[in-house]
Amino acid sequence: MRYMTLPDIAALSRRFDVFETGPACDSQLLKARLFTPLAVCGDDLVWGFRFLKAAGAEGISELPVVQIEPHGRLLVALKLENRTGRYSWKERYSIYTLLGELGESEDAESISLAVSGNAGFFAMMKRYACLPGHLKAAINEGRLDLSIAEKVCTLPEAACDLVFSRTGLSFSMVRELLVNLAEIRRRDGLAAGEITALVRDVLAAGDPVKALFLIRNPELSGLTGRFEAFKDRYTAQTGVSLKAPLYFEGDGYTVSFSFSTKAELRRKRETIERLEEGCDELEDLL
Amino acid sequence: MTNWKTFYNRIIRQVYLERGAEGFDAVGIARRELQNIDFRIVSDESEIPEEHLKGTTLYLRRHRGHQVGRCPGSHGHLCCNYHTIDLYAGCALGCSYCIMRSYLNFSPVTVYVDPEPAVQLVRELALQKKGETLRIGTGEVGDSLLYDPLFQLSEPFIRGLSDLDNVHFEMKSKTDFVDHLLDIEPKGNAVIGFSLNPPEIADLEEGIASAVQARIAAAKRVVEAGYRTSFHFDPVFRQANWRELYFPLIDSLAGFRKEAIAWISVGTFRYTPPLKDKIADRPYLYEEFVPSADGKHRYIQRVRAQMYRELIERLRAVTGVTAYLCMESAAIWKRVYGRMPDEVEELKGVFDDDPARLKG
Ligand code: SF4
Repeated sequence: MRYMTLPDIAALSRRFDVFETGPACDSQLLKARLFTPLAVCGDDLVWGFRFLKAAGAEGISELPVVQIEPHGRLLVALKLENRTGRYSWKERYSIYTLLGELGESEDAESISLAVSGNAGFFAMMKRYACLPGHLKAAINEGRLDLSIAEKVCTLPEAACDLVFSRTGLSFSMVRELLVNLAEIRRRDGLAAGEITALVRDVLAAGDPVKALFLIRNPELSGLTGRFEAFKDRYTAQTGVSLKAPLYFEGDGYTVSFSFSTKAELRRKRETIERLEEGCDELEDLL
Repeated sequence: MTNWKTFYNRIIRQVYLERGAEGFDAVGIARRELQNIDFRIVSDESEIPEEHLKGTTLYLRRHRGHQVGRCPGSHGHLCCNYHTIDLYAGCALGCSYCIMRSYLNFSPVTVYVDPEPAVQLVRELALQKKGETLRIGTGEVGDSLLYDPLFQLSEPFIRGLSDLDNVHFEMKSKTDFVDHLLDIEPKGNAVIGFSLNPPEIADLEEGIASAVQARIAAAKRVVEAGYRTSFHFDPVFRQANWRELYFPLIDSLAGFRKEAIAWISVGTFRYTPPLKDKIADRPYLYEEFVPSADGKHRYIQRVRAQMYRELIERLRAVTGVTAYLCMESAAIWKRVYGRMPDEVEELKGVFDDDPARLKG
């Protein structure tokens, strides 16, 4: 171990500066010189960027460094960082890209374990790397997960931005909107401008998720429309409630009502008798 | 007829053999056929290197535990009273809609090379359930015949169950690999069945499965050899021209005698959400689907009831056989047949316990 001045350390290459978060450096420990030495390899500062920054702020003029071997230096940095499973998407992508530069000098399997705690790091980053920038950013910001981003990567950036910027949508609503939009685009062969216009229309609706669901599912919407019309015709303002099975899947409609007088009961019974007349129409929906 | 030796060279790249399983007949037969492949001995599956955990690897092992079970069925959906035997678990045909895509992604194809315990189990079951029909098949977790010319594992079942009147052993396939089975005697009630989709769909969605006409030709050969055959229209896909695709396919079965067909099943396409994640680019997913009680997504009930009615009517007109529905709800049964399965006279052999009704 030796000491290097801050300007000398700052002059080293920063290509290993891939960690954006991580525990803050405690100023008391810094002043007492109680911290891990920085890792240096040739012209690269491999690990310790946080200490370098904090030391500058504390007015410390030099820091301890240890020269390490080129082979496995990224793994050393990851071990010193010690945040397996807790790296952000941005950090993981930087690690993945850096690894591409370093090539053979690193053991990919150990890197995967040090980053993710399993062997899946590279497969996942390959998928992430294929995404357009706006979806990478959405993942980085926690607005989408990787599998949904892959499903919606055919959507133009403008359409996604409109959805992301609409207030009042939960994570799952955003997810549902985007997936349905992507499916509609593929099904109907819509151009970028057309799908973006559709997003505008849908977001203007009171319930955009429902509005889009109806467009994605025209037959189900038709059934729902016919059922609602039937209800209006036969049960509106009668106090009798008529329910269809969810998604028109199943056997039974449910009729319910309450009453407190004989006259009320008679009126409800008459409503139900009228319902019976229209029953074929209901049967046709299932 | 497919040249299956060339075919195996394409779909099998490595073979792992469980220590202790070396002596089984099936292993010896496969070794002779796969001379260019080294059979590597392992203690268990965990010793197979990660890069070989895929469908081009075969893992030959003995069975431990329950090799014979009931078809898992589906919550809220009626099961057709079928038993399953795990013989070939996994499949390299590569159908885009295969449910195994959602859970067997990194697994080799497992071949259970010790058929005798399962044959004995079925025999015990059949004797316990004398007077009840036992439909039992090997095509639940893989294709029954894809690897069978290599391992000849169906033969011990056909022979070993042939004296049991109430057992109908079915091999179900999307291949035409039947010729190794033709001369087996006695055949008992063995059934060799074929899954069918119109060529226009099969060519796109059923990977390297045999051509549909080749499957039908194989069905003719098995019938000529004295087996009964079965047809499975599952999954049926809905698209604008589905009638123009499926009706000619059904019509092409006109040459089969009714008595030569053990049963016909029909099931519309369905998927689980994890499967959809794996196959999101397939155009057939852009139809409308709704979640059913078992968590699978199916076409809207009204739509599939209509499809079933038309398909079943056509099948009945062409073959004389009343098809049954695979994994469908009571509501659909009522809409299609007007009754529940055990009340449909023509399906009594499939759904009730009278073995005589299934006889040709
Ligand atoms: S034949 Fe069956 S098991 Fe094989 S891939 Fe196709 S659906 Fe899956």
